[in-house]
Amino acid sequence: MKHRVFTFTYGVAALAAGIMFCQAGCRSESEQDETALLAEARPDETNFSSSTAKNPYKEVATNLLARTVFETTGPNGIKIEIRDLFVPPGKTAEKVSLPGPAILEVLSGDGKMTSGEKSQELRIGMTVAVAQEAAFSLESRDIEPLVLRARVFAP
Amino acid sequence: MTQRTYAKILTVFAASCALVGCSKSWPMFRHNTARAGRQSDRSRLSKPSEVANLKVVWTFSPSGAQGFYSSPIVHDGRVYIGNGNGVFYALNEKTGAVVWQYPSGTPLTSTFVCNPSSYGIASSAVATRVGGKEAVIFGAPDQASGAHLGDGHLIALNAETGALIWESPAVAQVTGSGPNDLHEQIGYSSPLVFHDRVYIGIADHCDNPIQNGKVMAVHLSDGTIDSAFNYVSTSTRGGGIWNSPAGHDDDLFVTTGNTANGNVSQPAVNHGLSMLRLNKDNGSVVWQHQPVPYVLDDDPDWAAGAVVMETSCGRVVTSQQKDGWAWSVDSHTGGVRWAFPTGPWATSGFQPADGTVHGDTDYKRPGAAWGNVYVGVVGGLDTTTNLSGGYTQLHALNVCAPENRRVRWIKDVPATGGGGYPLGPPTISHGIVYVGTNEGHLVVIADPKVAPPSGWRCSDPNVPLPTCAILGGLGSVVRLVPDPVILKDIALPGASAIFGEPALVGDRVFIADTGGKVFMLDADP
Repeated sequence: MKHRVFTFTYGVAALAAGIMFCQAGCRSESEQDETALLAEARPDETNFSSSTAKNPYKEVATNLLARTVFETTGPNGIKIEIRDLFVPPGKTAEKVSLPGPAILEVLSGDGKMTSGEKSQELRIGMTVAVAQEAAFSLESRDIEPLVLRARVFAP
Repeated sequence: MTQRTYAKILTVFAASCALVGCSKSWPMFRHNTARAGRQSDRSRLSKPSEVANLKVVWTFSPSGAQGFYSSPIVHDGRVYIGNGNGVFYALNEKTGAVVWQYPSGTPLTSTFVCNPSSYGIASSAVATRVGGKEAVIFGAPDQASGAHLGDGHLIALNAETGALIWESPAVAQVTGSGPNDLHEQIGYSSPLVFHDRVYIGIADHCDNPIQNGKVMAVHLSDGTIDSAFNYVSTSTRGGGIWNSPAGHDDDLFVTTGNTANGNVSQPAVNHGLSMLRLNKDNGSVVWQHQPVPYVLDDDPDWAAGAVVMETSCGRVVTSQQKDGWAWSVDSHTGGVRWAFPTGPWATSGFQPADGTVHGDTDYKRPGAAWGNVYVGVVGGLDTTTNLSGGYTQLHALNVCAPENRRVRWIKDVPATGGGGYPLGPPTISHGIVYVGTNEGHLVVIADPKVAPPSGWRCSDPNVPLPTCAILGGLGSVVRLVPDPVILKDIALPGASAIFGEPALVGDRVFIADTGGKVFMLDADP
């Protein structure tokens, strides 16, 4: 009986040692340690990679980026344009107007739109109508950028 | 201690090693039961300076080959893989010579062939032991049973000889092509050997209409169906399991496909479009994460499987749906840790009025887990404005970081212009990422922890770099992130698009293409 207990204990100890050896051999350094956050870019970083977006935004006003996603000519010569508007997180964009009446849909972020005396809260999924040549400003109130997709119908 | 006792201890020791991934092998799809897609052993494949030595040593193409939509596994000196021609091959790891093939007679094919999952054997195998013998198990259609149309079965073969150990009863049934007939299939699902059972996901051939998703379990010892385990996705149809179940400790995890296609209204029980934790013994749902509600279900199957990650912020399950959003969920509770990209849906799921789109887009490949990092093909920060922008990119995501540090790096992978799905599932070894492309290339990328990046780019690819730099300084999610360096871009000779994963074993990479070739590359000069 004593011999059997000894054998069992010896066997379990050998097994545990084996597994520990096995695991140690696998992971000389913790993979969680290996994957600590990388250093941030320096404020004056200029070593930019050559990767380029197919259709990047361009700055069209202070704190407002825009790009045309699609454009075509509709009935009666109306120019239909789908344009994305991008306000950086936490920023207020300079007032702008669009070349025709437009419907704006919020694709990302939340914030506020102000046109004349009126202001409108913006949340993802909302749509807002804008009259032709009405000047408006956009404000982002999120860590996400405020992105709107405008469908513009220019005469 | 007797010789028999020593043998038992050695057996348990070997099994324990296999569980923690400590072996010079790639014994199953995504390497381990957590489906991490990670090789923890250090080798030349985990050293940036050695990767440049990778070269093709052998190519195998069987006679009558169709595409390889399964991935190779490698164990004990042999490579195992099934082909679209319905034949399963064991190859010599060093030479690529055929050791044996199965079956010797009628190939394992289905009469329903409408997409690559339906041709022959698309299920990657798993190496295990059955009755004290080395074995390989895979799923395949077999026209010998039922209505002779190609029911799905699990098949266990002797790993050394290819002799049949057992073939399960039909776990996926094909009874005809009518709307009320069954046309279930195993497809891409790879078996999970876990706690003396073999689990497999069941989806459907050709949709039209979709079938009820299932997870089936058979006994490892003899392949008989475990009737105590019962999981179906819905009370009618939908929720197909297109991926491979994952297991960790006592937990079983799967993700499920769409439900709306083929139903006139939401089924009373709807586990479709979900990440699920299941009870391994009876199949009951422990928790369900279903971010896309039935009303927004435009077929964004959760095709990429669940990846279980042991991180410094706990155990999480991470994956992405076909719509491009990635999710990380607490493995114990099912609570959402984060969504990427983030938004109101991170806390309340998607809503009909939120303007987001959830259709049949191509974010289908499982990601790889490395410590606190998840590497995958995901939609990216511009998912809402440029849905297909992420198809040719790899994102590395910091799983435990705050929102504004979620993106670790982004890489535009070259040689991805071939149409179809640009990238296969990535695999990783100590920060070095391997991925196949639809132009038949194997591309190797280094995390900036192991090799300096080629420069900096913006986490939102559409934002000009100077603006991005300013925003990053303000703590925004839009910020500069590294563009990692490519260590090697190899055009595999005569290769077609690559669908499966690169298996990393010692200094060697094994990868197969949809033109019917298996390649072995070696980094040992």
